[in-house]
Amino acid sequence: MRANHSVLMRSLTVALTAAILAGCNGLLDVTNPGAITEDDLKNPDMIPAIVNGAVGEFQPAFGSAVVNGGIFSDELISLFTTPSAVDLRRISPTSVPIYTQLQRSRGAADRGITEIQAILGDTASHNIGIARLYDYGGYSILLLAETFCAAPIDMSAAYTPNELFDMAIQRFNSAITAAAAAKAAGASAASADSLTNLANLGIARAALGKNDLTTAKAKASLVPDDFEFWVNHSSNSDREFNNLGDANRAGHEYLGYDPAFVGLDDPRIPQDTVQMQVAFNTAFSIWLPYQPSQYDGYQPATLIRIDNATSVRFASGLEARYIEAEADGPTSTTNDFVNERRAVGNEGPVSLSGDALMAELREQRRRDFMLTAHRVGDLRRYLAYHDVDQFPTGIWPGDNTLVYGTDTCMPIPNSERDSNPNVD
Amino acid sequence: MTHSWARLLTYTAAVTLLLAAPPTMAQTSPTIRGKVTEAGTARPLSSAQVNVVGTTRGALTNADGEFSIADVSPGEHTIRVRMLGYEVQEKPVSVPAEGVVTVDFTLRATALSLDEVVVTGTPGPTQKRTLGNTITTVSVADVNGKVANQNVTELLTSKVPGMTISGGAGGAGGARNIKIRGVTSLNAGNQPVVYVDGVKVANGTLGNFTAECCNSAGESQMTDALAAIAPEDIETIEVIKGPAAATLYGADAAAGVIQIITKKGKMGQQQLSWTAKARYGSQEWGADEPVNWTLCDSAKIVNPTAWPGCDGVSPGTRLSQNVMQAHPNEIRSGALSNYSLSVRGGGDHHSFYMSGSLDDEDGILLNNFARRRSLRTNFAFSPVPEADFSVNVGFTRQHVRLPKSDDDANSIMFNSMLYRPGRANPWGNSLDPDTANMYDNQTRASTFILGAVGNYRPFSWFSNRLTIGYTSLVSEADIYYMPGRVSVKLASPDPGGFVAQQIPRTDNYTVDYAGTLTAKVTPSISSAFSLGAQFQSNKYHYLYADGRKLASASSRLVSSAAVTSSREEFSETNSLGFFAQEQVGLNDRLFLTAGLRMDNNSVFGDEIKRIFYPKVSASYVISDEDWFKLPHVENLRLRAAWGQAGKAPGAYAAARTYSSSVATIGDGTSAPAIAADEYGNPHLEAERGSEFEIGFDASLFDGRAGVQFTYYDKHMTNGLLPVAVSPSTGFSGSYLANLLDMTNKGLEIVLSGTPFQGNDFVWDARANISTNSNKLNSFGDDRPPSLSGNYTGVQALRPGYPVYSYFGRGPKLDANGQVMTQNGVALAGDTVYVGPSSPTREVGLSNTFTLFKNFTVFTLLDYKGGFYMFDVRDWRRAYASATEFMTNPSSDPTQVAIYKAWNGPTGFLSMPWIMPGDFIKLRDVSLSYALPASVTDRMRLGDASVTLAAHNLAILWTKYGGLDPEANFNGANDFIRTDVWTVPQLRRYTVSLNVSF
Repeated sequence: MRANHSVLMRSLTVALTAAILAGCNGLLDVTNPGAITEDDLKNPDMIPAIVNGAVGEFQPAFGSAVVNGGIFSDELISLFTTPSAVDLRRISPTSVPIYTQLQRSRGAADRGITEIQAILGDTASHNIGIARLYDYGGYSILLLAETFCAAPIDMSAAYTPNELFDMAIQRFNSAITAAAAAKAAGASAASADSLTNLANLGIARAALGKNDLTTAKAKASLVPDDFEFWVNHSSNSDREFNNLGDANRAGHEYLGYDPAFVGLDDPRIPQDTVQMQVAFNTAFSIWLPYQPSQYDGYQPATLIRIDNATSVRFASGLEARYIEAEADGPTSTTNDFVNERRAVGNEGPVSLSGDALMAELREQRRRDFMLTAHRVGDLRRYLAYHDVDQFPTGIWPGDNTLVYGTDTCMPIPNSERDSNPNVD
Repeated sequence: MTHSWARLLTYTAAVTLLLAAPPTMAQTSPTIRGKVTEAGTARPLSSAQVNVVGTTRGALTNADGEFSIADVSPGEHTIRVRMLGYEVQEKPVSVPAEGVVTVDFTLRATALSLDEVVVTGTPGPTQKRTLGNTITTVSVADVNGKVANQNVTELLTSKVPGMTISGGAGGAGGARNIKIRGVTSLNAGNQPVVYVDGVKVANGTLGNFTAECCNSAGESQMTDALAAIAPEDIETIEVIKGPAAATLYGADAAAGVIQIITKKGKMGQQQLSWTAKARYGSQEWGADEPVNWTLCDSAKIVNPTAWPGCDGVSPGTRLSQNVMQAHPNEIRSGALSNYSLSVRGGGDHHSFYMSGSLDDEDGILLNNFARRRSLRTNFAFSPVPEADFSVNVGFTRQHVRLPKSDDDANSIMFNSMLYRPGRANPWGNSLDPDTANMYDNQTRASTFILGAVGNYRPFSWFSNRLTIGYTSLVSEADIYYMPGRVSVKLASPDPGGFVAQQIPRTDNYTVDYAGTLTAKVTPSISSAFSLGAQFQSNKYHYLYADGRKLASASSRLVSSAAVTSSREEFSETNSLGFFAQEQVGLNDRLFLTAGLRMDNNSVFGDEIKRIFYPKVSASYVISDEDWFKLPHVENLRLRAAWGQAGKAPGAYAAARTYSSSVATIGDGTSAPAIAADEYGNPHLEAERGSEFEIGFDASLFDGRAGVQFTYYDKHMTNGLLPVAVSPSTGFSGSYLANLLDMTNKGLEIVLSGTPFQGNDFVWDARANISTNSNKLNSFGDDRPPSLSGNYTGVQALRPGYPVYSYFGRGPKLDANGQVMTQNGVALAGDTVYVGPSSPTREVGLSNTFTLFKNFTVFTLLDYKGGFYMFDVRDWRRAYASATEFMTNPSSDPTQVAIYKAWNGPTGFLSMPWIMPGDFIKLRDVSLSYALPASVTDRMRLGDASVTLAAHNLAILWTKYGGLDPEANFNGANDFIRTDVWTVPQLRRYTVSLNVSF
């Protein structure tokens, strides 16, 4: 009996141990239909969605840059229930807009490149999706550089804006290479050319941000006049909304033109003749912003509300011409270009030179690129390289008691500082 | 699917009934008969378990204490009788080849029985004397007849030392929170796992909508999945309290285990035993009824449109109103009714139990009720002495309607508690009860529990048990806001009307094998070696749809709305564990146990392949030693145990995942896209609980008194905390990491006994005493303390203090110690520690008085102390100047200034409203009358009794200044202790008739 017991005990132990060692882990396999795993991303069928992932992340990131960059600079004033620290140029690192969206957008693009390279191997180099991802990654970093005082990338130490501009330029150069390879491999020439133009414009914009005027002009000159690239929006889902659509919908209005843009009588910045009461703060009124010239429903001097589906032209041949003019400096060509733009604004020609001409160039640029996420980068560049400070100062017009702070860039948020040991 | 369950249950019941048909043949086979009575009183003992040792043959005694076991093999046998609260007794019997042999038993009541058996995870019952840890057994079959309780959670209240059951709102269908030996986890839940006959069941909510629509925000009362188990079907509940005892249950048992054992029949019993119960009652507002006041000042007097009640009165006139009596449809007496019918019995090779019950409960608010329809069939079959099989099937249909409640400006309680006498629309948020009662939030749930258990004993020294279980909880929750004016008042998500439906479904699968080999190594040394494996799978599927803008009040389908949306969720977790345990017994008095459990779980990170949980324990029945001599001490057992168990994170918490998203592409269309979702943590594992407990059990004064003493020290490590994801990674949000360190220490003492026993008067008493000291030792990283709470941060997570303990701000004092004010409002001072939010001291004192054998009086006093409550209700009432004090010109102006500091110039002044919650409640009181045998015999009844019972009869004493220290605005929440417009616990009265035949 004891022998039987002993044998059985040993057998059971052996059987159970064998079962454990054999790895019953198959029993632990679970399905997760609500999520996509990293393994799923190895499927070639996923490539379009991977590329769209970066596009989809850039949409709200750009939207946040338009709204919050507009509030931070002198484009918009926010009269929500409490004064906005962004509007007051007193941004606390506890609450910093735009940052997470831009990092998600940058991350989606960079990850997408790695994922597609893993799927396609050597053939990835001429995949048109790769070119698109480099462009979107580049513009994400470009906006980080223009908006933030410094920013890390993927848990790194913080990079200076110029270092970030360089990273953006690297991506744009890679986009140009990939687009050319894709075109040579039979990809749509129109797509490849468009992505190349976008990359050249990106390099020009980043170089301008570094005050590398030679590169800026050279790359901008490669961008044709009729080039345009859009951030598309849709009323299909919250995620696809134009951020200004929510702030502008009837009964919910709280964003208005900053006084710096009121009364310009410029058809590129349509403006009502009367103010509108703020929906949540009835003691105040705003000049409601209507679709400016870079918005897809724009009609000169016509009051068309920005809605959830209003798309925005965020890169164009026009911008390339502005970059060329700024890089050229106060030349007669620049004066001609300024007069071209003044005509669009129903203003007569001027004959200017020196600082006055450059000031007028800046004036036309802010009108042409109203609410397109250019203004913060412009103001920082003017301050850094031209000793021109156009950041709003003095008494905040929201309530005439608060005073603007002195922020000229947004800080790295605490959410990054607390989780990234490489950032102080 | 619900119908298929019902069909399965019907088939099972039909088969059971066929097999259960009483034999028509005269009993000529060998039969053992007898009667079991109580020593001293000669009172017959019903429901005692009588077994032929070493076989599956047995019987339950009937109301007269009689039993009959047929078809016993001839020869020498030992008959064993067990009954909770009595000493086990065995007698030898010689069974003839045919005919009847009689053997009677007289059981001695004992306050403590070491031979009592419990479920431990190994095959078969385990004697308590062999365990190094304490397991509390609640005889629900006994308790349920004495109290006016509606569900399992109420039944367990104050019955188990170390188990803290926190109240929610008084009402029908609401959940309470259960914690055992303190807070175990911040992010993996504190609810113990629940098994019904060895099968794991859902223990969360039924999946109701929160009061603030669509689960989007706010705190609210939740429903209780545990309420699906009808108390009438439960024989006993065993509570396994912590890691030291729960090691064999693995990676999800650190918060304890509740084993629910349902009623069964007994093989060998040859007669059907029917039990019927009918109970009626009502429940009502269970606290003081607040009176609100208005001071008619000049501003009100000159504005008769807004304040018609102040029109024409002199300045300083005060108006008052009992706010609970301001409207005929504000509150009501809620009706109760319970009906149940059960039958159990057994044949030569089978036994069964069948039951059905109907329970209806109305809350005091007109749109609050809970309905439960329950069916159960337990069937056991033993074809050969070496094997037996049982199938246990339960099906419950619940229907709960929850009111708009708690922290909601459109709840009836908000509007009542801020009622302003004299105002044109006096209701706090201008919502009258008739409108509030239109709120329609209903949940219908079907719970199905199927367990199949096979026991096989090929040798006397080798036993095996295989349990296969499946449980399912499918709910349909609906919420509806009528279009038009009503919906606006009820803060509908859309003034054009809103309807939403959600269907959460939870399926649990259990496969559990355990085998034990016993051996007599030497005449004095015994060995029991156990091995086991357990696989559990949980699947959760959730469907949601809503519709906005309804064309008419009669169109309630989502599809009939102008704008619709939908959502679907799914999660799945699988766990696999193995255990081995060796128990060595020396002279049947010293037992040493060592065990090891290995677990893996789909929720663990990829880097975690397996986790081990060890345990060791010792139990020493020192009183069995020949040399043991202590006056008046018959039994004394010393015990100590140390063990570990886990608490697993939620599904998919470890995995890095991406979600399906969308992007608008060039042509303006929306295209599928991928978005970063969960950052994940490949090193994620279960929280680990290590627990040491030591204590003793003693039986004194001839079994008339018992003492159980336990000290425990539970140390939770690897506690889950969310860690912010660095945005520069391209992900956002947070991931879970094993960081937190927390301890719980405490004492558990059970004093039980019979202080007096006479022929016509017997007094049985039991006191469950427990303490708990909780401390958050460390976050595990350098994060700062956090302060959270409703309206203002009052509950803190701060190392060195109890979890979510209260911190408050008192008035700011100047250099002279005077309260500083600004414009008549006190300034708030610094934030200081106040005290714990969970009870640190609990006593449940029950007394049973038996008079003249037929009358029984039962009382249960419940004390909870050493904790604090946040009384937002009265804070808001004072701030609104709606109280007598705030409208009385002679009130202390300094105190008025303090009470006005709702959100004063320097912040919320919360301290006056964080109050000690200590209380003593008369939780249960009942009077039962058992009809004498002379009457029941004439009526051909086995047993009959009438019981008058009351629940939550009175708050006998409290330090709390609000209405009810148990009113909590989210009853299911592990940490919140806040009274925000919450209905106090209801006072309940019932009369019930119990008949067996």
